[in-house]
Amino acid sequence: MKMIHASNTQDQQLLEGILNADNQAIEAIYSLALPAVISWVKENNGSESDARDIFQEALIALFRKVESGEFKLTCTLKSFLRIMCRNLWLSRLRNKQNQASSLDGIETVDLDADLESRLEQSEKEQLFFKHFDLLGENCRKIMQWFFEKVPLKQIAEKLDTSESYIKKRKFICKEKLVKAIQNDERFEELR
Amino acid sequence: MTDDVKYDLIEKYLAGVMSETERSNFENQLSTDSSLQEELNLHRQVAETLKGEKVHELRSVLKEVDKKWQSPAEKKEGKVVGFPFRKMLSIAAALLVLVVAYFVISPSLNNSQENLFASNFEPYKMVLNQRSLLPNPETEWMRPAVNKAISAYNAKDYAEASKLFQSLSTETPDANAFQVYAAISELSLGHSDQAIVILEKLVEDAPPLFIEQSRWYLGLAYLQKEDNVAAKSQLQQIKSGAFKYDEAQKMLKSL
Repeated sequence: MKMIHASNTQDQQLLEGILNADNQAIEAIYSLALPAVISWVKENNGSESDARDIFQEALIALFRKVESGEFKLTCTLKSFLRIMCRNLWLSRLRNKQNQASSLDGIETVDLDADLESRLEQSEKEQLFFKHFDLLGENCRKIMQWFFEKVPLKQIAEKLDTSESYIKKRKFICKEKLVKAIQNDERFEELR
Repeated sequence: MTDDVKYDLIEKYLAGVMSETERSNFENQLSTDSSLQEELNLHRQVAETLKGEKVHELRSVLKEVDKKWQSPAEKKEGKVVGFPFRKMLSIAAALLVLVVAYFVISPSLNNSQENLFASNFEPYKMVLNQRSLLPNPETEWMRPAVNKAISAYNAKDYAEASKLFQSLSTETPDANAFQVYAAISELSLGHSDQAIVILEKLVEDAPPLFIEQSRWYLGLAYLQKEDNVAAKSQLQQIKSGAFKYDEAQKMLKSL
């Protein structure tokens, strides 16, 4: 049982919506919080598309945080997402060194250490997702079950094939994924 | 250490199922081999990121909502929502005139493109040879699947052939030949868009031999799609002496 505490009922419902990947709740969160994020990113050397990207990353990081156990929202969800996006965007700009001069005077706001480290990993996660999405459907299924620690024998039963076949395919799919990530030029920069 | 042995060790280590001796040997290796250490970290992070169905579900909902959702600025500009009804009506009327004109004028145009495609397209003959394709015992297990795909292609069951070749191409890093046949199968079915996706990737990064073939079929795919500009651009890139050079030159004249 995940424990979620928000200061008002609407935010409580929206957080539960994130946890359940609920379409309507996500739409409501977009309308609630994204316009302010877009304005702020645009004022700070970014575009609407940058804002949309980091907003998605923030929602995934928040999902993981809520999913991992007890989560207490100490301000409104709208402010919380704004802080997450702000920190994410500032760290992106800092990584592009040529932008550093324009950041004088803007500081990140402290979040809890766990969430902060999730945000730090988020660009790398996007890279993993990108290459995972490029795998064939069967490979994706096998990899997902394997990472979930479903026994190979059970995966073979689900796909109506032999365990030895799944073992070979798992290796080929994983090798394809790992090599694609390692060969991506962004991977070196994110290490 | 080969990749399969390395992956096996990493997975056993991460799953915590090594014997005491195996674990201490592996940890010794880790302490002296920084690339192994990095690889272990990558495997751990990838597994952490990708496990669980819910996060993938959330990502697909996010993509969907992001596509639909409009910022207040976009709404104000009236990209779709909030378009004045009267303006929309007059645009609809103008579009209708264009559509009618297209159908009155275009049959000759469509016919000539169709003819050009029909007179030039033929599915590439099946030259895949299981022995050369599957030279080592590592890929031996793929043999029945390759056999099935080749038979479907030869029997002109292109829907099945495309499906089988595409699934084979995810199983081996050396998948160019499978992809070419998948694309030709799509083209045979009239699915130019699907063929284009596969062929565009091949002309980007396949070895030269595959690029030549792919370029020709990509030209035909664009022709099928009635995109003459893109078709020409592909055909013009076929070099003298390459696969289908003469045919490409003839087609360029007709276009």
